[in-house]
Amino acid sequence: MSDYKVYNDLPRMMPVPAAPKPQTAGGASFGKLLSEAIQQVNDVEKTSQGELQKYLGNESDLHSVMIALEKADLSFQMMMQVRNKIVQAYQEVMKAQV
Amino acid sequence: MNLITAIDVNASGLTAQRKRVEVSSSNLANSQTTRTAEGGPYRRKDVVFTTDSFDETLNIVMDSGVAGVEVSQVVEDPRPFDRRYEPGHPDADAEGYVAYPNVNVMEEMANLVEGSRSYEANLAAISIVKTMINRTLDLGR
Amino acid sequence: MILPSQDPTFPAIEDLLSWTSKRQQALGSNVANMDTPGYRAKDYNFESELSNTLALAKTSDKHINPITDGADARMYELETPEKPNGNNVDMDRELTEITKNGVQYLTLVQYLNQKIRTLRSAITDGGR
Repeated sequence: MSDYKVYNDLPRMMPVPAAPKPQTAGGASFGKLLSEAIQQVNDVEKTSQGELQKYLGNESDLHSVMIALEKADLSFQMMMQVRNKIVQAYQEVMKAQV
Repeated sequence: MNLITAIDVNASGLTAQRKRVEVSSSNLANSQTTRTAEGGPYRRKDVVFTTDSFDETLNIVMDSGVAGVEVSQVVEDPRPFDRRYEPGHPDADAEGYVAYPNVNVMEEMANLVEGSRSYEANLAAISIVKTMINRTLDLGR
Repeated sequence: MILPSQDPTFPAIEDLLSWTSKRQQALGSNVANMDTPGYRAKDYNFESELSNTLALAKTSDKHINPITDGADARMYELETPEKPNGNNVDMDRELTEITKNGVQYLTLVQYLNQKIRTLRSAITDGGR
């Protein structure tokens, strides 16, 4: 079972502007959203691995494994989208400053 | 695994009913056999169904609601042979009677039909479970 | 915002799917043993779980009954008439119930499919 270490490194790899952080209407920062999403991906990935192990050990149902896999996929997609939005927003901010 | 177990259960039904049909066919085929290898006419055979609650693939006892089936033994029908007066027959006894197998052809045909009907029922159950499994594997696609 | 992994609909439907497949085992056993002398037909009753789950899909705090909660308590013996050999399996009833049970299962899967596709669509296309 591997942690998605590379995705944990994403916030550090992306240069975050020191100036204003992009804000959603609700006041939550994109950065926080991204770490939530990454955490979710981690958790859901672990769950689906666990479900698979249980299924191979004959303790789980097929539909549980499939649902866990789909949730992992959805969570991953969501994280990628949040990351894309942040990168996009950052790029726009950079364009505006020049 | 519930669905896979369901398939195993009905698969055991297929096996058991097939054995029943085999034995019944054998009875029909030998309904006129007056001389077997052991001497004497063919004696009708029957299968005994018993519940089988042990899952061989998983090597565990199944849940209480789940039970396969198996043919635990093939027994001989104790009913008396059919004695007919045929003095010219090579197997006739001192009084001219020949002992024919205790196979009732009508009864045996009915048994065959019932056996294949039960077989089809198990097959139908498996088919439905197969669909359930396939759709589950396609979840989200 | 509810992250996909926290959506309570997933475990609720998952639970129903577990019950449905567990019931399939009992119904299949009845068919397999339709000629076994002395065998009594069995079934599960999860009507309460069914209505619980449908109500649950709308709220997120209530406790979900896991399938192991007295699973055998939901099992009951059928009262169908007994044949001379002590077997009370009604083949037609069992096959009908298996078909209905299968439809219920497939409907649940269908519902999940829609949900997953919608979520996926919202995630990937919603940003435009």
